[in-house]
Amino acid sequence: MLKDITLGQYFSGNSILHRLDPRIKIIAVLFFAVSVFIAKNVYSFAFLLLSVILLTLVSGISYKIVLKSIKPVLVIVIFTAVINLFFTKADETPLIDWLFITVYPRGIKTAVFMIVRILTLIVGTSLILTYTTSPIALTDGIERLLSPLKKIKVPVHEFAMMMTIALRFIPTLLEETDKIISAQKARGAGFDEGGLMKKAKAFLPILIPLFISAFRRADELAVAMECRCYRGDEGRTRMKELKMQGRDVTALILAVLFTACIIFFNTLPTTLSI
Amino acid sequence: MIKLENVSFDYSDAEDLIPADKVINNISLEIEKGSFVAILGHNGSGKSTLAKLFNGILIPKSGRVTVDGMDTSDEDLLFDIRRRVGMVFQNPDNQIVATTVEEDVAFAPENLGVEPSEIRRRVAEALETVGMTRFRQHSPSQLSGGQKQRVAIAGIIAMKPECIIFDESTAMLDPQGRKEVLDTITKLRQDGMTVVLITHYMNEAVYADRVIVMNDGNVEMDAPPRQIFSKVERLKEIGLDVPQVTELIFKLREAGYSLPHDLVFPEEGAEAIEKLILEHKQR
Repeated sequence: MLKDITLGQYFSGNSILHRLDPRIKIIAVLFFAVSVFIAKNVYSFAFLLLSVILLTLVSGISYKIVLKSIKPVLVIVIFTAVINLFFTKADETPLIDWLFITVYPRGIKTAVFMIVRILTLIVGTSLILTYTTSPIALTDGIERLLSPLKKIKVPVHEFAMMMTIALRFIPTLLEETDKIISAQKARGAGFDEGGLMKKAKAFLPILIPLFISAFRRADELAVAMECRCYRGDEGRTRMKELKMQGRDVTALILAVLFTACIIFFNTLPTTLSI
Repeated sequence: MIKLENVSFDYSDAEDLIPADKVINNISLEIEKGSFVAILGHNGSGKSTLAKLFNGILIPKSGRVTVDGMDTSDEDLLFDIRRRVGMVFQNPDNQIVATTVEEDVAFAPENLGVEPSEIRRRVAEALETVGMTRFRQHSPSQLSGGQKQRVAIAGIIAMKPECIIFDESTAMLDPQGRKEVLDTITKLRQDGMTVVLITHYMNEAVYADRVIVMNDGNVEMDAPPRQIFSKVERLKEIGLDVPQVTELIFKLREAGYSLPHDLVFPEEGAEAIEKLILEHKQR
């Protein structure tokens, strides 16, 4: 019942995007997000669209999956477009002026640009980060990127370890939830009947045993980790070292160039801008 | 290598007014390097508590536990004690830390600060020993109970300990998984590992060179398996079973057949009975 939940949305593969150092990908995503937000005319938005299409091709992930990722944000996209369409005011002759509805050319422009902005942001960041980076590589990347913060006593390693353990135990706890649900059903509990309140209440007998078991597991895991000489970050080495390679440097340069291009395109004269 | 001197333990806190019952009652014993010791006892006999005293998970309330001369009550020595005495627990799920088999086996050497290339070597070696090399990249949730427990054992082997304690490590496994784990233990024995096996399965204990029987926090018996299992009546009194062969022979002896009293392996039992039948035929 709960087995088919996929978390992290990672699609394994062997493209150049998959093989990049996670640290570089995190930095690249920051550059990408900034670029999306500073883009303001037709040239820069066209460039954004083009690069997202390029990213899709490079990632080797099917365009169907990529299109699917848009689905959950579709409502937001439509909502933003409609708001921009009807509520943008400008000092020009409206295209439509009927009863209380007025639509200016500027409104249409803004609406279209907003759609492109949200879609490229979602698709671009998923392609660079979540689709092509396994959760564990991502955690690793975050830990190393933030490691300078250790100097000011931010428990970076501990947070990363918590993330790893959480990722490790998601399938285990899902399996356990399934078992508890079956056990409760076997004793006549109904989870599909009644109103919302009744349904919510029916989940209490699942949550309580699940929590108790999770705490017990945490306790045992802590002892097992101590038995394997775990003492936090102190003197710890890693089997898989992250090493910057030529392609990583190239990717970083490309990310910087990308933002530079957007800034350049923004300066080109055009009437199609916001 | 592990030495207990007049060790007592109970689970009370300092602020408890009524002292809790002693779980371990003034025990002295020594686990020798290279030996294979099985610790038997019914539930609540203190056998798991005893195991947890061996590598400093629990600290004795009185008395002293030393590992290679290092006192477990000295917190600064715990790291060195634990790298020498590894422990495999009952539930394999609650011992695996990482999201892939390989990463999990690497966990202990990583904590010890071993060089990355050496970690890889150790991981490969440990997975080879437990026969899980094929599953290196798998996620733990894709494995069976026995396989997970073997990964947990590999995680300890990669630490290169001198002794491994198995705290009822086969209790949650199906017969197939139990066999896998026992075969791994046999293999470790051949490599000269000191093994302490805590169990309530009698047929696992027969392979040990020494069996310690715990009862109510005391060492009830401490002898080689043949001597232990010949005391069928006493074992039953304290709520333990004997191996099926031993039980059969015991009943036959009671019925008046002359058979040796210290048989623990099915094969030798069968042989002895065959011999007896042949003798009867000849007569």
